[in-house]
Amino acid sequence: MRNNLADILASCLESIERGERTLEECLALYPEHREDLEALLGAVTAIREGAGFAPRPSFRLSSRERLLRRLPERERADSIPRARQRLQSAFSKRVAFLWAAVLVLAVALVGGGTVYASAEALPGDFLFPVKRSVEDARLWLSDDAGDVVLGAQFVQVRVEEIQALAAAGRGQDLELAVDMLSQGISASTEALGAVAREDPERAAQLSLLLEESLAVHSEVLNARLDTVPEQARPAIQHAINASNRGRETVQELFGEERPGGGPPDEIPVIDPALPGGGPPEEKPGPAATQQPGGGPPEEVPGSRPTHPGGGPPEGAPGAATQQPGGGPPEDKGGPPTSVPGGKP
Amino acid sequence: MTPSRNTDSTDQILLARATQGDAEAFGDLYERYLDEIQRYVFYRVANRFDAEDLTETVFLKAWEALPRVESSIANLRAWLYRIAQNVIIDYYRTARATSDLSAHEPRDGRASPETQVQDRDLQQQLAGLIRSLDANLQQVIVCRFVSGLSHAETAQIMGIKEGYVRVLQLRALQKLRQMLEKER
Repeated sequence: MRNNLADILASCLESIERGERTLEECLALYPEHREDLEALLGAVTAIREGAGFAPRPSFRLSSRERLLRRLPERERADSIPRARQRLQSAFSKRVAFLWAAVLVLAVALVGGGTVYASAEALPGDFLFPVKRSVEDARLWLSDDAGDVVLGAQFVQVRVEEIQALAAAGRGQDLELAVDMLSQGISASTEALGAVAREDPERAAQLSLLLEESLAVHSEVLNARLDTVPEQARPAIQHAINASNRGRETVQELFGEERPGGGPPDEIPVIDPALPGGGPPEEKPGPAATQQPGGGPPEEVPGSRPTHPGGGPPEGAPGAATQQPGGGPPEDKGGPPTSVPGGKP
Repeated sequence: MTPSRNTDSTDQILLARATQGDAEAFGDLYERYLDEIQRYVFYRVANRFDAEDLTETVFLKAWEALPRVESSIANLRAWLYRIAQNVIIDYYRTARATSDLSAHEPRDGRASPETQVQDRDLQQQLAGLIRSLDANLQQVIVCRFVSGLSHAETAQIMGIKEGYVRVLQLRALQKLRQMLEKER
């Protein structure tokens, strides 16, 4: 009976999804299950009403570039010639400088104290673009090594802004600040990579500065985690993760090359590249025992070779895969014949 | 509703170029699948920021694996979902997941007239409910009703038979219905 209801529900859902039947028509087809079906299809409606999640616009804007920066270096070099990278970098610096020059000129006309006043501005404040433009102009005027030093300073500024915004409960501005922190850290590590190509010894020294600075940020933000409003905590955690990732990148690049190398302290680091191939700690569930008939042969990164993508039981809260009283279902074989029409 | 399809011709071209090391082509693939992969991850972990990090990890792993597996990828979408599933498993193995931060954010005290805020609350609430289900049930619910995948596609991604997807779907909806009633 239970499997029967499962098939009837699936059939109803498919026919409704394809526009072949309305909800009422489905319910009329199965009067003995009407009550159950009505409740279950109501749950589906509730799920779909809350299923409209979309990436944040600021994430969408910045994430492609950030992802491409994180791709392994040699593959990137193949697709984006070095000269073009330099050109892009120089162009963006020039744009930043011109923008800063225009703003400074405007500010000079309006009032000389504006730049000074902008130093205290937070993301979302009217004067914040002035503050950023001044930062961009300073970066433009410096070389790669200077970019690392300044980048570390500006990351520190972002961390202070994040704390202030969290305390003020300015959630949306906080998200913006965390995005800018991530971008700042990426830019600093990228500048460090550029220094390393020209002067590895200098880069190793700078890597210590950057790594130590990021370690302090992690500590500071971790300490704040319990004191900020609850709504702000995911963003703070995100900022901590960004700092930890930045440290990992620096450690990967320079950890072994520095004199007396190694991390400056022992702040735990979450490893984003944790291989998923480790043995599961949980008992295998029904999904692992049922191999797909003709399932896809692809290799899935992080999957265990014996059960590729086979829905291994997770360590998620309540991740038991075996339902009480509900063992693996019988395989009825063949397609669901109760569904009219084929898959388009 | 997400259309049911195997890897289409644009995907195939981008995939081939990305396999050769063309990062820009890979970036194009990223943009094509960003929304649905991040949506899938969000409703599994119930934390917007973690979903962003994990989505990037999914694509990094895809990039790393491409040279080894490109020729065997019959369905790019299913392959990406399966990487996402493995990344989520890794996520739950780390200490990060044990922190209660990723539990659903509180709804009370955040009532706002703005629709956007209400939508986000609704999404967060649903993600929190889904996250409290067993792993297999989570996956079925998200694949079927969030990502809009068919029973067959869901079965392919989960590596189980379609008949079992239908059973899991029934169990998941029964549990969610009970939870939704309690919430009201």
